[in-house]
This record gives sequence, C-alpha cells and structure tokens, in this order.
Amino acid sequence: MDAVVVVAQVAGAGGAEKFINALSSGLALGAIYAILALGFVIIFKATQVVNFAHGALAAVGAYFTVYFATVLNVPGRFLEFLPYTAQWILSAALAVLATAVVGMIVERITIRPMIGEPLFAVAMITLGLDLIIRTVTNDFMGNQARGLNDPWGADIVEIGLLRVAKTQIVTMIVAVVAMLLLAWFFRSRMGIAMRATAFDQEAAMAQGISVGKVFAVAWAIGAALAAIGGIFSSMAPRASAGLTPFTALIVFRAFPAVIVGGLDSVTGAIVGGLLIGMAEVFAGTYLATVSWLGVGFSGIVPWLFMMLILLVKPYGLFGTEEIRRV
Amino acid sequence: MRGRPNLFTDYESEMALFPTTTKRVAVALLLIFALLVPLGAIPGLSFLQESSWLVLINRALVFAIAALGLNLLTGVAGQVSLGHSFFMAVGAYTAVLLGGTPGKTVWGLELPIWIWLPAAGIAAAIIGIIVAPTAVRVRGLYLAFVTLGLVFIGLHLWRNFGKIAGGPTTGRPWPPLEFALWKGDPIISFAKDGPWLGVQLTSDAKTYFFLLVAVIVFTLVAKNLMRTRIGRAWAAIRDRDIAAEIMGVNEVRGKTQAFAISSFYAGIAGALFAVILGRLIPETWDLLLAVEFIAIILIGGAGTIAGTLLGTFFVVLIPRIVEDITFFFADQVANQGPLAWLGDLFIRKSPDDILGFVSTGAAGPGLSIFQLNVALFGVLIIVFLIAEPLGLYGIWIRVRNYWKGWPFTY
Amino acid sequence: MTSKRTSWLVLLVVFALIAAACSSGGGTTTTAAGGGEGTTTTAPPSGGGTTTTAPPSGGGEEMKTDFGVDVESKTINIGMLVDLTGIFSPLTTDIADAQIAYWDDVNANGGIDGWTVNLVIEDTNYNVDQHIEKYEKIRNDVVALGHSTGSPTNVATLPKYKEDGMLFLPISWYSGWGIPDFDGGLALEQYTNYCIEAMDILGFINEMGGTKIALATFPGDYGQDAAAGVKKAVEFYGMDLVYDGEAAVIPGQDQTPVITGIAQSGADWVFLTTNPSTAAELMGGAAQAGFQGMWTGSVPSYDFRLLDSPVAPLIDQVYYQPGYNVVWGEDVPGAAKMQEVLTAAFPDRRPSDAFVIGWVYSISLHEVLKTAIANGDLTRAGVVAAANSLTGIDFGGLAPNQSYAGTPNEYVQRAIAMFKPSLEKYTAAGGAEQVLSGEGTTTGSELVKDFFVSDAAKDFEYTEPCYQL
Repeated sequence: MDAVVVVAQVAGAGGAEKFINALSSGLALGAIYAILALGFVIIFKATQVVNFAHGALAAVGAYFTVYFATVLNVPGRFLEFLPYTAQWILSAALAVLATAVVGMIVERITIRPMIGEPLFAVAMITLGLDLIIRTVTNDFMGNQARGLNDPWGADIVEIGLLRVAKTQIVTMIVAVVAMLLLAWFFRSRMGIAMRATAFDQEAAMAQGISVGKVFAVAWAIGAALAAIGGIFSSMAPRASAGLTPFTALIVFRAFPAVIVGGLDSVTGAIVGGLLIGMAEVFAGTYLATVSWLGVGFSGIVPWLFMMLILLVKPYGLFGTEEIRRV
Repeated sequence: MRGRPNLFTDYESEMALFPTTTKRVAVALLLIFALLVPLGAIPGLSFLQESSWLVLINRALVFAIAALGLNLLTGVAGQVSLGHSFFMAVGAYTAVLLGGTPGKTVWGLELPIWIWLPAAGIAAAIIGIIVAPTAVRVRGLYLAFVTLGLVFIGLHLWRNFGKIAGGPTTGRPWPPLEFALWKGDPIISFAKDGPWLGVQLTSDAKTYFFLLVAVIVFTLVAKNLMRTRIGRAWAAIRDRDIAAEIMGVNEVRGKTQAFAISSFYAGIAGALFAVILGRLIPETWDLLLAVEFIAIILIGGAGTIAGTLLGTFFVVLIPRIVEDITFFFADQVANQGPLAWLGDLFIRKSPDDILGFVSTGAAGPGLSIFQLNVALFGVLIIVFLIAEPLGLYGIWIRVRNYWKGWPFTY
Repeated sequence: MTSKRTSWLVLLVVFALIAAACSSGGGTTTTAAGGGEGTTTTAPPSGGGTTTTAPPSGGGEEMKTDFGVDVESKTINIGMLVDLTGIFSPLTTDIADAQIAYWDDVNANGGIDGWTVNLVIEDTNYNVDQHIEKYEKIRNDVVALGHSTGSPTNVATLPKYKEDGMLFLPISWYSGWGIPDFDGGLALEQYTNYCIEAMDILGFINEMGGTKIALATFPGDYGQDAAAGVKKAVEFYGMDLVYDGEAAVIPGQDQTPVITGIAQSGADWVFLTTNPSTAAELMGGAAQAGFQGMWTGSVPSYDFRLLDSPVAPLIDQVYYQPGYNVVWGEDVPGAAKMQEVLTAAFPDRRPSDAFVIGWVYSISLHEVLKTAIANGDLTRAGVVAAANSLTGIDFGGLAPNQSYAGTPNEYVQRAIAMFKPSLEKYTAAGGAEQVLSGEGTTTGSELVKDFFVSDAAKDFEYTEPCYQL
C-alpha cells in the first residue's frame, strides 16, 4: 500500500485519492475492454474471422438482459423465493446463453458458407451482420435508453480513500471468473480441439476434429463474452442511463486492446484490455487540464498507445509473429 | 486474330487498354450513356436527371475516385487500409483552408480551384508518405487497425482545429465548384444553373459533367498505373512481399508509392465530396465512411477497376433503390394497387396483423420502413458475398464466361 | 459447395428481378408524381416552378400556389425531415409521431378550411449529407418543412432553403434561428433558445441561493450557445464560474476529465448541456467521486426515462429540469385535446414530454397554414409571409404564446418553466409500465416555477446569435 501512496505523491496534483480512484476506475473499464477483446480474439483465433458484429452482439446480450430481467422477469418469476440479486444474475446468465445461441446461428448461416474465402470478404459479411443485428435489436429496444435494473444500481462502496461503484467490483470479479473458466476450457477436450484448429485447420480435420463444431463453439463463446461485455457497459457509473442504441459502439473503443495484446492471443486480450482501460482513465484524469492536447484527448490515447506498441512490437505484445516465407 | 479474343501475339496488345473490339464498343456505349444521363434522354431512366438522383450519382462519382485510390492500395498493393476517410479529410480541409472564405472564427485564403484541388491531393499524399513506413513494419490486419487509429486521431484533430474545420457540430462552408483564374468572378461555374452550349442545365448536371471527366481521368490513370512497372511491383508485393524483394522490387518504395498515390486520390475525392455537399462537420470523416470504401472494393471485386466502379454505384445507390421499393409497396398497400398482395406480406396494416413486420409510421410497432432500409442493405451485402466472394466483378466474369461458351456449359 | 452457391445465386437473381421490376415501377411513379413518395398517399402535383392559379376555395378570391399544393384534391404537402434512426431519434420520433397524430386528427375533422395536410416523411439519421440528400428528394413536392431535426443539418441545408424560400420548423433551439439575418426569416423558431433559456435557469439558481456554478457542455451550437448564456448570466448575477467545461463533453467518449473537473470544483450547482444518457453518466460519475451539489441543464439534457435508470434516486434528489412547454400530464386547457388525440392514436405507447413539443409545433404550423389560406396565397413565399405576420399564437397553456412579427428583440420568447423530477410521483403512476390509454399518466415531473423570465434574460438585447457559427 505504501508503494501506491508514494507513486500517488509522485503523480502529484490531487494526491493519493485521485490516483487510487483513477486506478480502480481504469481497472474496471479495462476489465470491460478485456472481456470484449477476449471474445473478439477467440473468434479470430479459432475461425480467422474479424468480427465487426461484435458490438452488435454485445448490444444483443445487454438487450436480452433488459428483456429477461425487467420485462419478462424470467427465470425470476418461477423462483420468487430467491433474493432479487440472485434472480437478476440468473436473468443475465440466461441472456448470455441466449446471445451465445444467436452467435451460433449467425455462424452457421453466414460464416460457415464462407470457409476458405478471403479474410476480408468474411469481414465484410460480419459488417453486414452488424447492420442487421443492430437494426433489429434497436427496433425491439426502442431508441430510448433502457435500464438493466441491476441490483447494484449506482451504489458506491468507500474503502479508505477509495470510492468504487459496486458494479465496478462486480465487473472485475466477473472478468476474473470468465478468464479462469476460459483457462479451464482450453484444457478441456473441446478447448484442445480449438487450439489445434487455430493452429492448422486441415491438420486438425485430419486428426478427426470436427472443425465445424469448433467454429460453432468459438462463436458461442465469443458471443457470450460479447454479451457479458455489453451488459457491463450498460451499467452505472459509466452508462448510468442504461443500454442505448450506441452501446454497441463501445467495441470500437476496445479495438486497441485487441491489437495491443496481439490479435490471436488470449493473454494479450486481458493484458491489452487492462492497459488500454488504465491509459484512457489516467489520461482523462491527469491530462484534462493540458489545453493544447485538445478536448477529448483521452479518447485517442488508446489509439496512440496502440501505435506506439505496434512500432516496437509489430504483432502486439503477445501476438504470434507471422513467419514470412517466400 | 478475328474471333480469338484471348489470343495475343505480342505483349503490347495484351497490355493494351482496350484489347478487344467488344471492349472498345462497350466503353464507347457506356460513355454515351453517361453523357445522356443528366439530360434525361435515356428512355425509361429519365428520372435519373432529377436532382435527388443526380445528387446521389454525383456522390457516387466522387466516391468512385476515392474507391479507385483505395483499390490501388488495398486491391492492387495488398495493404488493407481502414483509414481512407482520414486521408479524404486531409484533402477536404486543405481545400477549405486554401479555397474557403475566411470568417470570424475560421481561416481561408480564397484561392481558386486550380490551386486548392491539386493541393488537396498533394497534402493527402504527403501524409500518406509519412504513414507509409509503418506499413513496412506493421502488416496485414495490424496495419488495418493502425490506419483505423488514424481515423480516430484525425477526428480528434478536426474537432479541435476549429480555425480550419469550423464548429464541431456545424462545420463550415466549402468553396463552390467554380473555375476562376484568380480571385474574382469565375469563368466557369458548376455551382449555378445556366445554359451550356445552348442547353439549359442545373447545377447538379454541371457538377455531374465535371465529376464525370474527373472520374474518367482518374480511371485512366489508375488503369495505366496498374499496367506499368509500379503497378506490377505492387502486385508482386501483394502476392508475396519477400519474393518480390528477392526479385529486386523495392518494398519500401513500392509501399510508399502505393500510400502516396492512394492518398492523393482520397484527398481529391475528399475535397470534392465536401465541395458538392457545401458544408460538413468533422464527424463526417468517421470509421463508417472508411468502412464504406472497404465495402465498395470488396463488393465490387478487389484489384479490378471495373469492379471498383460497379461497387461504388452499388453501395451508394442501393439504399435509395431499396427505399424506393419499400415505399412503392407501402403505396401499393395503401392504394390497393396491382402489387398490393406482395406488399401485404410484410407491411403492417393493423396492430393485429401477424404477417406484417414493417410499419409505415415514424416509430414501430415492428421495423419502420427506415430501419428496414438499413437492414436490407446488410442483407444484400451478405447475400452478394456468399453468392460470390469475388464481388460483382466475379459475377460479371461468370456471366460473361457463360455466354462465351453458350450453348455449352463450359 | 457448387450447389450451395447456385441456390444463393438463384435467390439473388430472384431478388434482383423483383428489384428491377419495382425500381422501374418506382421510377415511373417518381416521374409521374414529381418524385412524390415518402408516406404520401396522394400524388402531389409536379410543381415545375410556375405559379398556378386555381378556382376559389369557397371564398371570393383565388388560391395562389407553386410547390407542394394540389388545388384539385385540396392537399397541402408538408415535408418532415426527421432523425428516425440517429442519435436524437429518442426525442424526434416522439415529436414526429405527435405531429402525425395531430394532422391525422385535423384531416379527419375537415382539414384546414377543407384543405388536407399530407406529411412527406424522410429519415435523415441526423446526418448532414443525408439531410441534404433527403431535402433534394422532396424539395419540389412540399410547400414547407413541418419538422427538420438538428442544427448542423439545418445550417448545412440553409443555402438550399434560401434558394427555394422554404419555411422550416427546426427541432433545434439555437439562438440563430430567431435572427432573420442568419436564417433569411425562413426558420419558424419555436419557444425560446438555448442561450436565453440558460439565463432563465441561472436566474432560478440565483433564487435558490446558488453562487458557484460548474458548466459542462457538448461542443457546438447546442452546448456553446447555452454556455454563452450561462456566462452572460454568471456575470449578471455576480456568480462564480468554478469549472468551465464549455465544449468539454464529447458524446460517446470517456467522461473522466469532466467528472474530475466537476467533482473537484466545489460547485454548488452544475449546469449541463448534453444529452440524457451523458447527463446520467456525468451525474453517476460525479456522485461516485463524492460530489454533492445540485444539477440542472438545458431542456434536451433530461429525459424522464432516466427515472428508470440506476441514477433515478440521485435525479430525484438533485436535478431540476427546465421546460419550454409543460410536461405530459400537466393539467392546462390545451392538454385535454392533445391527450385525447394521442391516446387514440397510440394507446400502447408510453407517455412522453416530447409529444407536447410535436403538438405545439403542429399548432404553430396550423396557424401558419390557416393564415396563408385566408390570404389566398399558398405559395412558398405566401407561407413564409404568413408565418412572419403571426402574433400571439395561443397553445392553450401548453407553452407561452408565440409571436413572429417585429424585430427579434421584440418578439423572441424568453420564458421557461422549471420542474422537479419526482421518483415518487412517477412510480405511483406506474413508472415504466404506463401506457397512454391508462389513467393519470405522467412523466413524473412536478412544476416548481411556472413560466417566468429571469432578470438576466429580460434585459438581454437579442440582436445576434449568442454563439457564432
């Protein structure tokens, strides 16, 4: 703790409180970015698809949560003996599952026929998907902000100098749990199959791995992670109004995280997410008064940071270096 | 030689711009068609001369210039760029800085078009040259994301340089499309209605002719670039960069040239885009615009000129056509026209209409017509690319080959 | 693979055939009707620029028309350039729907003196180039624009409006719309503007005892117009501007800088000029950082649906909301008719304050058209002249009366009302579950100060836009 305080003093203006709060806020934002980046990376790693519809899937997940938790009240209405928090978590879990199913359907209909086609043709398809999914979701959602009615609301916990929103604590916990589950998954049979497929599709097929199934699972996991990211990016304190038609755009803010970590690296996504989240919040906290940088400078700090990293490490921090052959 | 279109006996004829008679005739017909469009002289398509269509067609022509540039960079030289809108913005703001009218809050030098238009291209090209070395270090998708970063950094700059870009939500006016020798009255004005050679033309029609000439020039330049040393070097770098280097192709120079020329195209297109719209806000130069160009060249068919042009018209005009179709059906249903039964299938007439998922009101229930337009555009992209991943050009090749071999299937 | 390809191709060809068949169909409609589509149900005349004079509409004199008016079917076509899919669509779809309902009701009850009003709706997506494009599409089919969303969109299209002499009702309260030098007398501005509104709100803060003001706004005409008003009033009342976040709030970005600025300013009142979701983000963030002051902001910064969000308890405690018109559910003479018509039109929709805006705009347009018809001149110029001659348009208490004759400084509307969002009132009425067909629908706001003009606004000499574009 002492070390943190010392660093805080070095950081100057505003002192320890400012520093600690920026740190926690940055970690919470970073956790969201990391979750979004993870989903993106898993889809890319397993299927070589740059998924531009990731933001749309995030919005779908958040919308399902709104729908299940506030409109339908499932599964809460069958489990009234449970406390509200538990009911809400079940609704959110159901929403994540539903989004995973959406991801699988999308993969089966639009991505599977494109196996072996040029990378960017497939990327274009996901762009078309993005238009469709977002339009349909927005239509169901209406264009007003929709609150998720999560049990934590805008509540704040004070621990010494630190003031942190309950939702941010939950975000970080969920991010850690999701990463542990993924680590476990990659050791499972299916996970190994996925790693093999990522390494070499044809060789994997020759070993009797059903590549189609791997694709479906990758999209399901990717979509589920997108949904989790979408849910947490529609919560207080950052999105106090709730889910809006523009929630989907948060994925663009997570892109630098994907790149900084390396497009095909799971570890990279996590590290990149946290780094980018912190870079953004720290720039916002400490550089806001530097007027020559312009208004909204913190918004481009992630991109500048990404470019800097790429100049040093062209494949990101943990990305696989492409072996260039003649 | 006659009747053997694919037989070339020397390199020169193989490399010719229009190698076959069919091609020559087709291009000539296309040109005549293009000249007649704004005069409303084409039977059945005379509605194209209406300003609402001409404005769209003009936008397509401007986009065609930008898309040709991106096609050289991405399609021919293989460097995927999501930052095309950034280079367009550089061009547009150079143009307005040199050609715009100064005001209380903005700078402008009021120079004539023959200075600001080339300068727009050159400024963008210079930025392109500065960015190019990154492409040597960073490759493939990573490069795409670096260029994407340029878009966001650009947006930040335009928002904060109010002296050049104007107010953040209101922008500033661009100079009109007028040709003058120096400050003062223009010699030729494309921005005012009036007669040309005795034919009364609207400003949109005049702008159309200006842009048409520009597109033809830029198409020829692109086509020629592709069949010279530079173009072949680009293709070599795209296909296998190390192999290209071993064969003596200078990778750094090739990529720099690709970025410079592509950005030049983008700069010119950006300036013209802003000029024909008259006023733009910084948010115009966002990711969506850049993605639109990637969509254009991929839907058209990467690496081909014809495909790029086809793709441009597809992406720019299809939303309008889709819109007209949905409105047409809404109208049919409302007035019980002959095609009302088809419209009944999807247009909601009453709250308990189960079949209809499209409503004609401003906001739901069900998708509004406006939302349907957006979604249908997405559907079209997907259907087209699944049907033919090589884009419209691929479809064209397939159709052509079918008729070449007709009545045999191959 | 091949068979799959073929089936896709077949699908594509079928689609293309339908498209071809219909686009040529649409094309002929276009030429026949002069491009009249949108939700037009009747074909407008192809204007062509010539002034047609038609037999009298019942009275003795003749009706002069040029664009967008069909004398035979007695139809007046009004353009609606609405953001239906863009960032302001939460507000503008409700406004547009209220307008649609209003005119449906007028048409069903005999129209204006026998004239039917037909709305030609287009979506602009709050996008400058789409706005221009859609305007081009309908410009020859309409006599005026009854709704035109946004400032940048309207400013960009203004040269074209001027070319056509097109009257438009901007859904934007920029202080330039009241200045004829700026808009050519074509904008029929409604209510007051952001700048004078801000002065009124600061007058209210002054009454409440506030002295230290923090300011956080979007960049551009909306935010900076209001910021100009705030700064003028701060000086007038001798207050302290402890945090100047003019143009510091960029929508969709991380708001840490602004939140930090507000939280450390020690302000007792914060003035926001943002959109509702950003306002919620700033309030939530500042509360997390321990900020304890009161909040208010320009009208578009607040939406009653924030009472469904996690910051609802906070809003209930600290937010005051201004209003150009009364909120939904307020009991004024003009409200009964509005509630009746909108309930009949949208029984399942939630109540919305934006409905009132659409209704008030429609009343204004109604007055304009009525006057133009009475003058026997439904040309565009006639409609503009009618608009600029109006005085004391009465909204039945929904909003203060509006006038357009004289100099801007004389006729500009300076009054606003203040409201306090009440979570209790909102929840008691059913909260988010309310539908228009229910009883006693409310958006949860309570009137705390009826229409008033602050001292700062009263003395303000309105001769030019507060914020120059």
